[in-house]
Amino acid sequence: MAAHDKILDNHFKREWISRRNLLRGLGLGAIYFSPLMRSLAARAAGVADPKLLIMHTPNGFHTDKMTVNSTNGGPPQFADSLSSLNPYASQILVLKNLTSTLVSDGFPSSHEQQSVHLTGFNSVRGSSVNDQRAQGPSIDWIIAKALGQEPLGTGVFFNPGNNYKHLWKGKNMPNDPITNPRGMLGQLFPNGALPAAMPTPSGMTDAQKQKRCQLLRDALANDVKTLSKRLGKEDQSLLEPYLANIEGIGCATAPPKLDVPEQQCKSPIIASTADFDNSAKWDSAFTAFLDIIDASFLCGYRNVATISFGNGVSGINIANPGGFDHHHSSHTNENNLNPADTIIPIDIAYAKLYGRILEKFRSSGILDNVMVLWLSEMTDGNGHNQDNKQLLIGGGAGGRINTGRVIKFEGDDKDRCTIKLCRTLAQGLGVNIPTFGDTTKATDGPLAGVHKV
Amino acid sequence: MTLKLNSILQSAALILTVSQLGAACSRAETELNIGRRNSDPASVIKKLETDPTKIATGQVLSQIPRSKGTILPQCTVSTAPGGPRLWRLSATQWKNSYFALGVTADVSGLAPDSRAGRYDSSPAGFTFGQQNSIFFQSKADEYAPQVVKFISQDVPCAKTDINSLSTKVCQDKFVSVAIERIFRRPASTDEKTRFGTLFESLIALEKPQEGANDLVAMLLKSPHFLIRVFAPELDGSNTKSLLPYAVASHISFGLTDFPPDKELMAAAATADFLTAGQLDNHSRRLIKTTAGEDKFVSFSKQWLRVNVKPGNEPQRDIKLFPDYSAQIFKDMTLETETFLRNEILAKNSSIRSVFSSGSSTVTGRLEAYYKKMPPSNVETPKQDVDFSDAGRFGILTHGSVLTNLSSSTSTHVIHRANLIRSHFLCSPISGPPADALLQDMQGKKVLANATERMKFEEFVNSARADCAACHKTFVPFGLALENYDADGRFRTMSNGLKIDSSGVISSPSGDLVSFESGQSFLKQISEWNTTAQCTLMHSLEFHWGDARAAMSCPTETVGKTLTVDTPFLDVYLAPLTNPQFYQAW
Repeated sequence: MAAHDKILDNHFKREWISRRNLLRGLGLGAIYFSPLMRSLAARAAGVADPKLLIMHTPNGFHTDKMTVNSTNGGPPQFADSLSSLNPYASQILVLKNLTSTLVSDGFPSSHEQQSVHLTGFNSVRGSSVNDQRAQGPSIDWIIAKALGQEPLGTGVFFNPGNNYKHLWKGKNMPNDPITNPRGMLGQLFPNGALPAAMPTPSGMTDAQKQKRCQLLRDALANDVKTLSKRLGKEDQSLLEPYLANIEGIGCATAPPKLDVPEQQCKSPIIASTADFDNSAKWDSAFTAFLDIIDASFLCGYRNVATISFGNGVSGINIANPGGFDHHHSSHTNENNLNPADTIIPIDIAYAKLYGRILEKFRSSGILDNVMVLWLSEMTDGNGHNQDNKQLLIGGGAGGRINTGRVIKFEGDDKDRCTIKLCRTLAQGLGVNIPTFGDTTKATDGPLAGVHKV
Repeated sequence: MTLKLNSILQSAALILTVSQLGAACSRAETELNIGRRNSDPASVIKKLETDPTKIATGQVLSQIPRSKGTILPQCTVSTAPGGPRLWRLSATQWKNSYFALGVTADVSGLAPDSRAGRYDSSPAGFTFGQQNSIFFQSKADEYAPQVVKFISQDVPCAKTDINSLSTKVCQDKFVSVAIERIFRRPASTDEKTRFGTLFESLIALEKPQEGANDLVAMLLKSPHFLIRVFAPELDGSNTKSLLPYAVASHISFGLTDFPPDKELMAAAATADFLTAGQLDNHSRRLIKTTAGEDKFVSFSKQWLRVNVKPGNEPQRDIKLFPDYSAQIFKDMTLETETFLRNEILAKNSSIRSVFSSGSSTVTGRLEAYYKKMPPSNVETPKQDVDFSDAGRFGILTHGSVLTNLSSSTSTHVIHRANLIRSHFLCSPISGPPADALLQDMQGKKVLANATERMKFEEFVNSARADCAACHKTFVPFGLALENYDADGRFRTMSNGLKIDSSGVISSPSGDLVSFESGQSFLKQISEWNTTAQCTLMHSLEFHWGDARAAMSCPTETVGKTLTVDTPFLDVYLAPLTNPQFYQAW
């Protein structure tokens, strides 16, 4: 079968896939099966289907020790806080001297500007102190939507009640990450996490099963619509996603043959004893989220994911040197702290976590097909600055970018703006977003020289 | 001592700013550049009267925004609080609703509710996203057989033989009972028709038990189960308003997180349910239940901002606070919870008592910690420990509150001031102007080994003028609590220097009031009726979500005059017991 025919063939398998993978008969809408089939189709067609993972860490870095050297265009040589990343040097692209200064001008502190980096627009102020909001969706949301998905947002230490957020669905609409891996696992891999649901009654013919499914789906959809008609627009919007979910339930019964062997798509296992409500056990949450993201990428359930280590200004100190919180530790000058005893161990710990992500993808065989961006809300924790950013992208995006390099951007701020970085990420996943971001703050197109020509 | 502000203003020729509720500091037109430190308020005020230009640098007055003699703007709104007509059940309410249907539901797979508002009851936090939708649906499938078994007990024709559901008469009875149990209200005529037809079609396809399972699963997936719907009539064919049932649900979920019990449902069916007396009686009945008490404590802890999840206890620099630990914070939280249950709820205490009671129930470990005695590991609660001689005066001096409003290394005067201003005086601090930069707000000189007051003086002298002017309007509220360290313990010295927590503030009625210590400051605000009104505004927000429409005139909104001698419980219940709220819905 030709590749094109396989894609078309898979397209017509959607209904069965939705039932097979999710919630047995009546549970899940079209949102899930579309990306799955897209991924399967891509594999079958032998084309790359790259993934994107953005890792956010708070409070910037102690930049003096975030050392990356390079000689004669060779691979990056990591030192000091980043030295643990040398085993992955050939698969990391280092971008130096990027800036968000132009996009984020006019705000009192760069913590509040953290929505700037992934939305491409300056923040707007909310009703209270430190309440800064985005003017539009962040790039993870835009890319995922372009692929017919939602981004897989995961949060370690993340507090939805805090205002410092970088992920947004739209203007003033935060897209808070899930903080409980068990809940997320249940949504993506229901057979691995949830008990068996009510089975379809035995002894029914396929036609009877289909009729029963349609009866229940249509009755529920009608119930929602009947209520919705009596509501105002604002309340109707609350019900819209629920209605979309119901109307997406597939009632076809003939299961076609899968192109991808069942065993390639396995649910990760979360220990029943894992306690995700205890921030002291953050590593177990990180591990579980990474397992879920890896499996979701592998299965083709999602192409875009994020791991957020806290909101901006997070006080959580994963290395715990000296007992100071992370934010306090990042202000070594103001607080008369020795960086070696405070902020640098935190930077080292986050670098190791970034390495664990790359190692996970390497071991599952998808590192060449991903982009793993490490981002913080500012450059230097002391300076609260948004210029001279050094960002790391791990993985080859399906061969679309050359890794093992260091690119230092020069020239006008508009040529090295993080708006262009977001366009670069989208391009890496085959998504064209020419109008992304404040076009007055950046020149057109993605960053020069990142993608293979 | 007090002096009329107006007379001072006239003699001192000062310009007074009256900041409106919630107004940004940048919008403040006036600055009162008077105040005191290390001297008697009366003499400072007298000096002002004679020579206002000789005000010493750093002497400040906290100006409370007010209008026409009250801290609140003049009331112009008399409608019911705003809010959604749909209010998705929280995770707890969803679980409890299943419990009322005979199922112990597993909520662990549900994505946590967002905390979009200040209170976890905010409807804005209960979204209906894709992940939650899938969870609700899968659980409905899973639990439907148990719910069918539970409901069948109230359907005589199906109770002993589920196969009786093969008859249309029995099907219709089952549909009516199922809807009433699951939707927490009687079925509308339209619903009886729609779901009756569906049930009949299902049973034509499958066995009665399976058909009942499918029908109930569908009802459990309906928004009428998952959401509290404020729609008086769901279809034009209703002869009886469903509003009383919506009110019953609002009261019951609002006070207990459980759906209305049989007594409340029966009351909703009576003609006089929507009267102040009925609503008040049922609210007081519900608050006495364990769930009611727990929810009251939950509100109070959120109001005080001490609702810290286990494992997220505030950290402290171990070098500076070696005696502090997460366990100590847990003990502090327990002290606050016990205070709320035993001192406030059980004794029906007044708002004044919340801010002024000097006794508390603490573990032996916490008593030793507060009193700086040798460490103890006694976990047994000790009742009515008198801390008045240890600087304790009401709930604002509880270690839980003070510790949570500090950083890991020091107190945080702005956070403390903000809590007092926004939660007890309803005069919140707004953010810095858009063009302010971080360096504008920081004092140019870093003062090591200084008191917070000295740092503030340095800030006032060196920061941008408009930043300094604004901070002067609220920082003194935080400085008044400087005798309470970042670890929650009372102290008299900071960095080897004596702490001065005295000051002058302007009362809501326009008087200047001096205080010598944190205790006298708290005593002062505990005598202002503003605190009762502000507490009500927070209760309104807790019970109604976004209740800003009512917040400018809470007394008019709830139809009661509130003073500091009003029982705290009355203030808590008032937003739920005014029938006019519901009639206006």
